[in-house]
Amino acid sequence: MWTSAPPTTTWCPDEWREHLEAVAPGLVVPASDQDSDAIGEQLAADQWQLLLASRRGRVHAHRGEHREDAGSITATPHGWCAAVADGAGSAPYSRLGAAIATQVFTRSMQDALGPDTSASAATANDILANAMQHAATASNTAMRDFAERTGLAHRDLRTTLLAATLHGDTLALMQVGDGAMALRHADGRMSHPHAAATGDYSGEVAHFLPDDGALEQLQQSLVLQPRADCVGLVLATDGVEDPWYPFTRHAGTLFSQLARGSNEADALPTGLTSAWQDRVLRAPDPVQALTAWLGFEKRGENDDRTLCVIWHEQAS
Amino acid sequence: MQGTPIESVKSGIRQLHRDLLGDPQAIESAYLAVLTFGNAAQQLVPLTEVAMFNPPDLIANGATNFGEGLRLLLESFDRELVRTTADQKGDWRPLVFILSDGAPTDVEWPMYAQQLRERRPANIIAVACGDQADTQVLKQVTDTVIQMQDMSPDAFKAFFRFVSASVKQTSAKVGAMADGQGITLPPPPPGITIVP
Repeated sequence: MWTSAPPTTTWCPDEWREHLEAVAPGLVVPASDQDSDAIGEQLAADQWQLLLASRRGRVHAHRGEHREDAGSITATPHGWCAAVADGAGSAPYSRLGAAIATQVFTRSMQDALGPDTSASAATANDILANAMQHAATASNTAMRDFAERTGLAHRDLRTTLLAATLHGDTLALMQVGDGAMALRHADGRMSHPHAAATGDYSGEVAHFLPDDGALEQLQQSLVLQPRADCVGLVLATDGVEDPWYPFTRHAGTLFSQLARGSNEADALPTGLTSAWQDRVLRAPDPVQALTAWLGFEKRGENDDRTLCVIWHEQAS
Repeated sequence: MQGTPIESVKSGIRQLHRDLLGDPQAIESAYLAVLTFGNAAQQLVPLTEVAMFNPPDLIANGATNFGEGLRLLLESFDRELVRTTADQKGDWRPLVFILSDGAPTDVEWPMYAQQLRERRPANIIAVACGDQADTQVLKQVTDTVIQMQDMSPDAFKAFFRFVSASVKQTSAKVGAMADGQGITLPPPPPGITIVP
């Protein structure tokens, strides 16, 4: 019954390309239908590895529509920055909104946390907090600027945004909209910096960038904490969070699967079937492995899926 | 509603069901229920997944017990919908189409209309069928009222295609706003107008 068709429209209309480059310099436009289906990236930052994959959901594939999730990762002199976003399906150009938001956020953090930036414990909090607030503003502004240049309404670009940055020994985390992030600790524990958005009904989000009020929500969500014994993080759009709901219960299993591969003893969420049995984090081709892992199946859960996994060499 | 229009609604429900059976996401995630309000209100089909749904027979009778229908609708929300909790994801906000070709014959309907407005448990689209439907009554239930002047079988066919497209759209993840105002319905077919 399910089919997969290439998108029937261009990812970004040609006449908007220069505007996209202007508001989000360096943003890579998908070069082919294959890129629209799934993308992935891996990079190393000191003793950390960052792995990102984004996979088009079955509904979008069946309908010949674009993947609306996006993600971006970057290394900085004293750490790294990662962002994932889920463009709202009800917004016609949310794929562009999500791509702009993540690209501008990580680029802004890269600029702010350059080689001359102090990473000493005494100043890292202030520097990081300011950089995160500025990056949030930059993302929102870039989206609004793009809307004005192209004649789109702000709501046409609606997206969630989840971002995490390590600077020295300090972690900074931000989120607006749904999706989830979780931290892995050296003893195997998971912690959750933000409470899950739990309205009465599924799929409903209180705030999307770049709507009025969303930037304030994003900035107010800022959590700063010492890295301490954190050895890993996951940032997930709701296409991953929903099938693994409640994330507070299942994120540990998810991280273990990625680190060690599927295990019969794993307490998977009800009805979820793994698509990839081997470990992902130290696979010969981690990007390909994570993309395959994102193909897990659960009835009714056919949204785009984006997952960013970050782990320290001490993680197991 | 009686005669040809009620037959067209029956046929439209069958068409809607067939259409949804052709959509894999609807098969996996959409549920249908049918409630009627005439001399009495009744739920002909409880909330049922598309693959198990049997289109019901509809029998028209004289009165328009609108209040009873709204009360039953509220009860079915409480009984049949799954809300999100710390342990489980809830259902999508339901999409309800209320079809009426007349005016209420009961006096209690405003109380239930107000409850629906206050609780906003669903995205409700009220459909005024023909020129005898009281759009002002429907407006007290929901802001989204559409008028279908033509009650021919072809008009109902087009209307149920619109319903089908709406269900498919809302049964996919659309990232609606949590205030329930964010859903975007497909454009209604020609001949159907939005009541301001």
